[in-house]
Amino acid sequence: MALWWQESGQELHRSFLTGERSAREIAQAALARVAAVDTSLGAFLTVMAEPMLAQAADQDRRREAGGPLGRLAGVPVAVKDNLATRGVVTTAGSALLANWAPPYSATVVERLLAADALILGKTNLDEFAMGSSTEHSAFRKTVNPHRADLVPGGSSGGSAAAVAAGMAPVALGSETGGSVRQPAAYCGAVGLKPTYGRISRYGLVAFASSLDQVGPLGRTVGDVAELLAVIAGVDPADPSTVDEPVPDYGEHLARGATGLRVAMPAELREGVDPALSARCADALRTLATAGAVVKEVRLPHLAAALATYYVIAPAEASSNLARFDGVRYGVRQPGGDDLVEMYRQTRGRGFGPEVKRRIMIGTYALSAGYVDAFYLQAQRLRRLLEEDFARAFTEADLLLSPTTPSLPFAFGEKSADPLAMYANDALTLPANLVGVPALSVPAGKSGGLPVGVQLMARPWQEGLLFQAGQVLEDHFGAMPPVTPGEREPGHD
Amino acid sequence: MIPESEVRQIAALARLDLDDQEVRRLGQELGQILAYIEGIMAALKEADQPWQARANGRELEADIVAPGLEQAAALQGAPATEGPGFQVPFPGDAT
Repeated sequence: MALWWQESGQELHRSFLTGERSAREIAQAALARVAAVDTSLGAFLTVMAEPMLAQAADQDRRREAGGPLGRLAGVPVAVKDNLATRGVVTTAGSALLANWAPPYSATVVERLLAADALILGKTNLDEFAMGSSTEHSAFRKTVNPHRADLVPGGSSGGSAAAVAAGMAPVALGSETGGSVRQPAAYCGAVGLKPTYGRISRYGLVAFASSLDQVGPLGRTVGDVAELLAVIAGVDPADPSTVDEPVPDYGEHLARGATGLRVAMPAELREGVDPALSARCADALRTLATAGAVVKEVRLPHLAAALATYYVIAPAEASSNLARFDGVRYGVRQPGGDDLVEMYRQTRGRGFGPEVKRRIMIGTYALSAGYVDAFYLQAQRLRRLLEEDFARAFTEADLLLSPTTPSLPFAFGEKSADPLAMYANDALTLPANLVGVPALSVPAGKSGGLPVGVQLMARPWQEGLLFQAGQVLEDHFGAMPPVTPGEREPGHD
Repeated sequence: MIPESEVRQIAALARLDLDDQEVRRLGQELGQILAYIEGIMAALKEADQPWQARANGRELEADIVAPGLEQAAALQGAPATEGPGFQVPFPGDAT
């Protein structure tokens, strides 16, 4: 029998339902795994041992009594620390919220609890989800489980590392420009950015509201599909959610790729490491061999996506983060007797350098004299991008590309050059700008490091992503969980 | 490079207290980032209508008023409270 931490969430769930394991055994094993490996990884900011053990005891009692059990019963789940958990500190990776315990939980957390997921703890992230390496966390460094000198990606680096190292089979992250897919690719996990409006953002600490989405991560496509099914759906607390039926995604997993029209746009291969392009070409061949039809499409305005994103996201952030002023929550800095001075001191000392940089870009882009040239022009370009994608999706059902332009990078490698760091999101952020769903799936390794390929589909077509993603997983194999410092067998 | 005076003006709008070193660094970084953005945007001037929030082809949900947090819960995370409200310093003249 495989060790529990090598099993998928669905396997663990079945082992609990059949009585092979108790929820308490699973919860204790998850805590033991965190104790064994997280000192060197740094994936968790808070481990929720007591509440999780209480949940497990309750599930064991209900199973004993033949009572109803949720579809994630017995499955440990890690939750990114920008999702509100009632009574449990939720920092968003910021010193400003170091001691903030929200009085409510995010809708996605409530849905996890209703499905009997065992919530293991809160994971590290770049401050306010702004970053691609988790180096911008105010609290700790998270390392890539595959190699300790490399970043895990970000901003959901803690969630991706927790999944890749077998501390939890699944996790929640959040995306604004690739913050689920990019760390999933760097750590060898599966990560989904759903259609904008598919998942409630209520209780997600806001970064850029027209782009933000919660997204699931796991080691298998099936686990990610299952997690999406639990958390998706309309929520009256978030009017941007849409009352679109949530399909049975499990049914999509076995459909194969026959007849799917797949394109690999040239614009999504520019500037990509040739080793990653080669893996992507492998993925396209795999889908074609499975019966997909290869098409050619163009995205003529894609070159503008990075610039467009780095106006819109900071502009929305500068507005959203205005609420962190030391009045309603968070850490307040004394600012003498003057209210505005108190705001300035609180924000000046409470925010880290990357958050300040983005607030400054956003404030600049929205200020009188520049708003037309930057913000409005960015919104015009966003519309052109949306039209590009709409046209492409008349020709193809799925767009395929590498998830990232390069393999995981070393700590500090891009810290001195914000533009180089931002360019790392170039292939993921278009899906956020146009609102379509996108999935990153492992496509083997290069130089001993995981490679991710990305699939994008029309809005609400997550099922097609799982369908093709499962074909790729069957071919390349799901990445087995790694123990940091242990040499892994083969896979290259 | 953005002039230091402009960086300070933007920081005042953003209500951020920056030290001199941060002002110099941000002047340089913002200069590079904004020059890159301007370069891209200038090459694509033909764009017409701005993007507008839609619900991916679906109707947006109605905004329905519902009970929110109880007052005590809302105050619970505040750094300082006074009676039924948040406590703040008296607004001075300085901005």
